[in-house]
Amino acid sequence: MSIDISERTEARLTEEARRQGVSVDALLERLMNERAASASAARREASELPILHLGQMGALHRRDIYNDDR
Amino acid sequence: MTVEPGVVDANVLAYAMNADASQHVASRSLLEAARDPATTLYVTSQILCEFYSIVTNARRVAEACSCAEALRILSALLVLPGLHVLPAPTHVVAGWMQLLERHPVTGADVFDLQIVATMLANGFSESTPSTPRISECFPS
Repeated sequence: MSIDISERTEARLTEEARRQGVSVDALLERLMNERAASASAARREASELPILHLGQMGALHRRDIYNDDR
Repeated sequence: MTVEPGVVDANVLAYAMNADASQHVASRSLLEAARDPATTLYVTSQILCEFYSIVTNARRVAEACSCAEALRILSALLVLPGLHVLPAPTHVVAGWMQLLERHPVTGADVFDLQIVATMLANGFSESTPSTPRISECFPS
């Protein structure tokens, strides 16, 4: 498999892999794993999305949001 | 639930949070879909501000949220893996000004145009199903 990336991105990846002492392939694998773990943590935090009781709501129009007189 | 990519407006966010709203179930289902990273829903900074304005304003809701409570809700929204904030590049200004030339609205209606301009600046086209037609933004 080959992918087209910019020279700047390639340079960044190569430099980061060198800094971490791993191959570019191993670096990408590590980054993907970290992203999956991060998404999983985010899903857990999002489970705290509350359900409120703010009272009845009519149809909300944007123009009303910006006009407190209505 | 399969959800097409699109922009979630402030009223939908408010309905989704408020179990007393008649639109709550449908709106909540849409928002719950954003727990799945495969879902792609968008908001803008303006939309999040409008949501905050609604839920903290006693003129809009009977039991308004405190600032702290609304901030907690916003934080919870922002970690939904399927909900993304569309950036507003500087040329959005030129975008809504051009829209104003075609649709010379006045007053608070300009905020609808800013959202459309933000969507267009982020690659949505006017033919994209989720991009509101201008006529839909301004119901008579």
